[in-house]
Amino acid sequence: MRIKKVSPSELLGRPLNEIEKRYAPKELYISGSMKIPLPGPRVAIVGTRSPSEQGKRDAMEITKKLVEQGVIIVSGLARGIDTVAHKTAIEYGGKTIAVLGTPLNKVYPKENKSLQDLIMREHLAVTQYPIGCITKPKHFVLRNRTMALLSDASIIVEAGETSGVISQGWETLRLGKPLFLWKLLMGRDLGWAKDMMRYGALKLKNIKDVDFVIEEIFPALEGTVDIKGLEIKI
Amino acid sequence: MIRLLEIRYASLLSYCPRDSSEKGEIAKRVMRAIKNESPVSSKFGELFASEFIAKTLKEIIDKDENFKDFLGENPVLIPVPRHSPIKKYSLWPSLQIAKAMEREGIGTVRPILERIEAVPRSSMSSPESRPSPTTHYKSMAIKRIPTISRDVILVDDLVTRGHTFIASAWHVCEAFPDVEVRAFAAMRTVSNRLEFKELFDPVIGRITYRPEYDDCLRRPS
Repeated sequence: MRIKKVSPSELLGRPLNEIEKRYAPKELYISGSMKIPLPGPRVAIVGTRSPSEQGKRDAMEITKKLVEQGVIIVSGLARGIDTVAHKTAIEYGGKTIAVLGTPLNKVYPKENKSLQDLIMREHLAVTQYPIGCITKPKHFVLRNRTMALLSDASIIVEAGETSGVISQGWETLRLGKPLFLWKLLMGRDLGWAKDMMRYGALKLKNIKDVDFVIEEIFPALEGTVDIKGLEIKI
Repeated sequence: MIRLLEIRYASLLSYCPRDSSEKGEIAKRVMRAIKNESPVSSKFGELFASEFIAKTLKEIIDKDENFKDFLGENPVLIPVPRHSPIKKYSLWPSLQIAKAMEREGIGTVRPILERIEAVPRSSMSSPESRPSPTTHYKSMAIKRIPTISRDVILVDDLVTRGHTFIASAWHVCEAFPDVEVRAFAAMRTVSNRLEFKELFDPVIGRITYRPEYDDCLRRPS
């Protein structure tokens, strides 16, 4: 396992703006074969650890559609929706990034060891926690903020009233990036989902609506936009 | 409610959502950089998008009398709200641009307009179902400050039809009836691919409200 230490700015290939800097970790530890700075666009697909069968099917469909457009799938390697997102991306020939709440030499949950190994070999695993760091529950919350930073948009597929993805949703909105809530979240009377809609989260009613996600993230912003060669004519 | 029927506007850059030529793609990337406050590498070096806009605008003011007259002497810069309410420490591209303009000596920022209720985003609405100026007006509020006696420039990242600008102007005119309100957008949307020339395309024009349709026409488009 080869681990490299990079700053978020090196990973994204651009300096962070003042809003991004507020909660960005100082350094990140990465392992994998993806090129650095990261290619794009990247969309986070996240959700509950105990999804319904419908939730799993929907996460799979959404992931498949994005992968077909060349989108890199970001998730947190947790049980449930995260695992479906990573596995579907790999199965359909796409690329995936796992943002972990543990150091790179630890696996949580244990059943995802082979998936994490594969991602660390052929895709990319990222964490803000160095080897030796004792994992605490709050690390997974902070990991979700980092996931929002590294993604161009986030989609929450299915979650409960106290899901860990809530922090990711708010951070996505704070960073001014598009946050999409999948239809399964509607009609469940989730207070946080209603609040997020009030603050600009967008509803995805069906798989066709994933086109809106694609419209929002293309053309990909990879590093700094270069217009040095263009003349300002007045 | 004071319904201004027309305001003057200026913009620096342009992009066309339907143009996928090389020029069109560059313009779209710059549009995304402005919306995300990402860096742009130009003849000024690597700067965040807001700083790049402010420096370019400063250069134009120094060379072009029309732009200098348009902006006036030390105007009050009021950033236009995003499409939904925002929490503290959130990205607000219009505020970033206004602050960068202030640092270049182009006016004084007063972030007094706020969104109190989300409106549908243009990107997820068909042209006919985009929020009207009246919908925008009802979804915003103005924070009272003692007084504004100078000209006001509304600042936004992107102008499409001008609905947000005209609704913002209504609020400002209602609170401060004696000031003249104009609008500045970093970038304008050119819907017709044949009318899109290039990224740098500074214009001064007008946004006209049509009460019979509750919409706006922006010229040049």
